Amino acid sequence: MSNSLTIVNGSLLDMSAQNRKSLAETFIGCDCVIIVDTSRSMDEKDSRGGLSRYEVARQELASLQKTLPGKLAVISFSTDPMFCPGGTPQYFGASTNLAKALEFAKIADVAGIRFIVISDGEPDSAEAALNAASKFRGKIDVVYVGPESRPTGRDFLARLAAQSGGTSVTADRVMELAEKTLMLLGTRQ
Amino acid sequence: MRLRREHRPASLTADGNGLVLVTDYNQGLVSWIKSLPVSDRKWNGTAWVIHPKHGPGVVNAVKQHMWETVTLPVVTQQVSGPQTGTLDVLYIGTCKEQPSGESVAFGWSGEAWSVIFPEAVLRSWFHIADNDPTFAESLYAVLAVERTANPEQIKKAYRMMSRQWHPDVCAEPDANEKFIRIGKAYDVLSDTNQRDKYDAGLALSATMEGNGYKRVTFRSPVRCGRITAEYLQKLSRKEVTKIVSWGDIKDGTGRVLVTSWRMGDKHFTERWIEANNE
Repeated sequence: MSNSLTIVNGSLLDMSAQNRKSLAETFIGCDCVIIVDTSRSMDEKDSRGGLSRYEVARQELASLQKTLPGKLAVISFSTDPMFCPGGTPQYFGASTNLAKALEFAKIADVAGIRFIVISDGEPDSAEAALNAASKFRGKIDVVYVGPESRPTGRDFLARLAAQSGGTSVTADRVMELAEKTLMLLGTRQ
Repeated sequence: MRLRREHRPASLTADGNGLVLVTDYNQGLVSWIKSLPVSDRKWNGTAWVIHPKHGPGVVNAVKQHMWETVTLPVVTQQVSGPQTGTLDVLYIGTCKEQPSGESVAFGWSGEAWSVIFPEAVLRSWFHIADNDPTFAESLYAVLAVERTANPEQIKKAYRMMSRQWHPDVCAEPDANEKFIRIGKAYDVLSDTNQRDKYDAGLALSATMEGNGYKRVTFRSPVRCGRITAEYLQKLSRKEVTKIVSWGDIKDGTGRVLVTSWRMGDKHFTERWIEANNE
C-alpha cells in the first residue's frame, strides 16, 4: 500500500529536482498545503472501480500536482502526521488524529498559504481538532470524502471549515476529489 | 644515480616553543606525530616542534619506530593562558580532519599559516551548526547569518559576502556560482513574505528523516578578515578558541581586501577594492 518512494510529477520534490533548488526554496512557490487523512477507513474499497478511497485519493492528488506543479504540499496523517514532498500521501491505516496533523501543519501557516483537509470521517477528538484549527491564521477548506449517507463526519468537517472562514465540499468516496479541490482553489468554477 | 642521504642520528632538544625533534624520515614516526592534536605539533621545514607535554611519548615513539634513544630535555616552558587580540587573517583554508580526529582550518597571518581555526569555532561564528543539517545548507548559511537575523543584519551580511565573492575580483573557482547564490539568498531573506514561506519550507524539511543530507567538508564562507579572537599561543601559532568579531580588512584609504585562490596557483591572490556601497 505504501507509495512513499513514488515522486509525483509536479510535486515539491519533483520541482526541487527540476529547478535544482532546495525543498525549502521550492516551498516559496507553494500556495496550498493539503492535509490528507490516511487512516484505516481510507482503505475501504468503495471508490471508483472498486479501488480503495486511499488509492483514488492518491491518483487524484497526483493529477492535481501535475496540473499545479510546485503549488501543492502534501501532508498525510493518521495517528501521526508526515510531510510527503514526493506528493504521494503515506498510507498509515490507523486512527484519525486530525488535531496532531493540524498542529504539525501549523509550521506552514504563513501569509500566502492556505490549507485543505481531506478526510472521510470524524477525528479522534473533534474538540482538539477544532481547537488546533482555531489557531490558524490561514483559511482551512475541507473536502469530505466519506459517503454522502454518513453525515456525522461531513458535518464536523463543515464546522471545522466554517470556523476559519473556509469552505466545505463533498467528494463522495473520493471520486472527483481533484475537481472539487480545484474548485476550492478557485482555478475551476 | 641516486644519492644516499647520510643517516642523521635522532635528536630531541628544547627551545622556547617546545621540543624540537630531528630524525631521518620514518613513516611510522610521522604518523604517530600526526596523531597528536594539530596545535601540539608543527613542521617548521626541517624539524618537528612538539608540545612538551608529549615529551615522554616522543621518546617512546622514537625508540619504537627508529630504534634510537633520545633523552628528554628539560623544558622551561613559557606558559601562556588565553589571550585576546585582533588578527589580520588573509586567507582561510578548508577544514580538514586531522589524524587526531579534530577538524581544523589554517589561516594565513603574518607571512605564515600561523592561525588555527577549529571547525567548531568557525561554525559557531557563522551560525552553521553541524547538528542542524537542513540549516547547514540554507540561505541563512549562504549569508552566514542567524535564523533570527533582522533586515539590517541581512543587508550588512549581503554586502560583505557579495563584495568578497564578486566574480570580477574573486578568483575562487566557484565564485560565480556563490555570487549568484548570495544574491538569491538576499532576494528571499529580504522579502518578508518569501522569507516566511522559506522558513516554513525549512521547518517542513526538517521534519523529514535523514532529509538527504550528506555531511560535507566545511569551509569558512569568508576567506579573509580582521578577526578579534580569543586564542591560545602554541608553538608560535595561535589556536583560536572563540571569535569575538569579524570585519573587513581595510587599508588607509578605506579599500577592502578580497583574497582568493585561483585553481592551479601556489598562493592566494590579494585584491583591494573600493568599498563605496556602504
